Amino acid sequence: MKSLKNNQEEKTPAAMLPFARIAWREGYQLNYQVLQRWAEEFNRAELATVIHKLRDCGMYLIDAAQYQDECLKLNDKGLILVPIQKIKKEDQLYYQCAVSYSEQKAQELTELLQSDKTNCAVRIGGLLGYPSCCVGFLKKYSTGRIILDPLFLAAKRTKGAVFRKGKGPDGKGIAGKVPAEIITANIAPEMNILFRNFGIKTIPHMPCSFGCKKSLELSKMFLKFMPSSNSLLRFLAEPVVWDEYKGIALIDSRWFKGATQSIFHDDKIHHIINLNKSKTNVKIH
Amino acid sequence: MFIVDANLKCNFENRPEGPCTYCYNTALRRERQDKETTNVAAIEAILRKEFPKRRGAIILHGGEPLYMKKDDLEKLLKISFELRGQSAIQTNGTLVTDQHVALFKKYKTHLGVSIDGYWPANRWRGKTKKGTDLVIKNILKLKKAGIPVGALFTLHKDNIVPKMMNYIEKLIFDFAKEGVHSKVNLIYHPDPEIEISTDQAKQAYLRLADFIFYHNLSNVSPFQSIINGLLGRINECMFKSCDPFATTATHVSAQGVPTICSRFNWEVFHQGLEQTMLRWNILRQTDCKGCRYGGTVCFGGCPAVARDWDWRNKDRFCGAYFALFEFFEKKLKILLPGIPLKTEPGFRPIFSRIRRSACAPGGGDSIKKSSQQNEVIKK
Repeated sequence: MKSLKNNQEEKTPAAMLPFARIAWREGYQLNYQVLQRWAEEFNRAELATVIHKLRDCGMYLIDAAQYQDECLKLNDKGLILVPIQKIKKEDQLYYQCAVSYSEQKAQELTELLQSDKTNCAVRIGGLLGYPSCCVGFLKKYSTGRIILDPLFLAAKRTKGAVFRKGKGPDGKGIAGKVPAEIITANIAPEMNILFRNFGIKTIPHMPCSFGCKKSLELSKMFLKFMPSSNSLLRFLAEPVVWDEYKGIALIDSRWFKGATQSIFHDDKIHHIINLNKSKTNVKIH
Repeated sequence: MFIVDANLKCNFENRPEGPCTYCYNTALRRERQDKETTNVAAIEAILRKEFPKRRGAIILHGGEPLYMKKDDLEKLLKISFELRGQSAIQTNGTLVTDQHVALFKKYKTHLGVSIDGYWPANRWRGKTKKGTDLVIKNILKLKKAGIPVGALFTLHKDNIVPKMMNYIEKLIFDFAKEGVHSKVNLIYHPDPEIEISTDQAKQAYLRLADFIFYHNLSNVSPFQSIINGLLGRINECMFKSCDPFATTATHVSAQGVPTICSRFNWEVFHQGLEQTMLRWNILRQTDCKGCRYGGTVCFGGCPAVARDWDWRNKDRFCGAYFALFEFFEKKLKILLPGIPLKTEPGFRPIFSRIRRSACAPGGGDSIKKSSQQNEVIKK
């Protein structure tokens, strides 16, 4: 890791385009509907946890075409929505909104999110109900020079996960060809956040490790509001390989191979997270 | 372009000498051929659905397409002909009969025949001299019958040596005399005993480039494609920006499933809907940063055969293609000093300039005058 830092100091991370793309394996192409359902359920769970006052604020994605109607409906339920940013996904426009039962807190969250997030990470995390350990991890991570995807660092911090440097699999699945840093872990499905950029997740934040107890508790809170939680957890328990290289992460699952953005670095090293293939489970801490 | 798995079986598997040494398809085919018989109806349905969206040539691939039932072959050729006005087949050229020739004429079929040179340069494919001669004979027979036919050469460890290259050059030359176009591809294979190094590829390509230049042979690819690219003309997928999630070529499996290009033959993924500049956006910041051909005539090569089989890298034979671009750029500049090339800033293709000037007010006068003069002469 030391050499990685030294190499990286002189290079400026290039602007990689944000994207998340999926190539379906043969026979699984119709599962996009399942993925859509899971993502929608998680979005509704963001709302439900605030409605039930399990946390102060949440982040909610609304189809721009239905924004007015949705706002009125949620206002009737005593919720306040403040749009933060526009998001374009597959030619459809969405608003990402801060949602809260308190107008003051919704406004505060919006202002904090639009300001320098690093300085107010603790307050943002507090409002959104994120575990303090995870907020601390992300704050510490984002104040330094960003050289690696926090996902990889979180995996590395997981107790019981096996880290090794060596040769990783190449794109064709032939082992032992490309230089790589590999983490192997068997984690609780709730903590599998490798698919987060595809909308498949059970926790709304980046955990400090894949064995974070508080994040696990938060995920259980969300799962109560997700009717398809059983199928989602089954999917998240399956073996998956996350392979980051040149700022692009390829996620290889049984259903599909996805590509999404990561943190750009110019080292000729693959960062690989190999989940749910080993025999020993990681410790919850 | 549509590449259709017309038939996963190959007649070479049943010959005593076995399949081609470097068959890239054997493992995949063995895994799938028992499960997958050709479903012509499904292929037809998917072609009729997808063709209006993507268009391009429809090429029947294999295994060996001529090894399938003639009725099924005719059906597939007919569908291609109805959609595209012509059809195409990539074959090993050993099973061509007069009945086939009649079909090819009827459905305006273009044939690509794989051959790696005169014997013994073809020994990894043909296995025997007799087998090699049969393919050459069939190619010439097709040409004489008026069927558009091209030869596909593959450079690998066995035929890259200078002695073997002579046999390749001689066949390219003889084919050119007969009007048969040639395409010289590099092998992409996981076995290092089969695949050549970038340096070997570069030497072989430069030798062939010199050869075709010296003998004035046109329409030999990839050399023609390199020239086309430099002149800003339409080029093959290899030198375009290809998106690994929605490849330029659509592969249609024997069961009629549209997947990404069959060059990604170790995994089968569904074809994406929308093409993006995803790969080029990575390469322009990394492997291709500062390359004088990158972003104009080349976009990092084929993603399916990138270094380490990882599309986030550039083509592993980049060095060979770069040398060819350099070679032909210099030649074009020496022969036609004023010719605009795509690698130059402010490039405007010479062909569109002529068209534009003809369309401009008064710009087409000279063309009109000459056509009027022609009419007067005719009268």
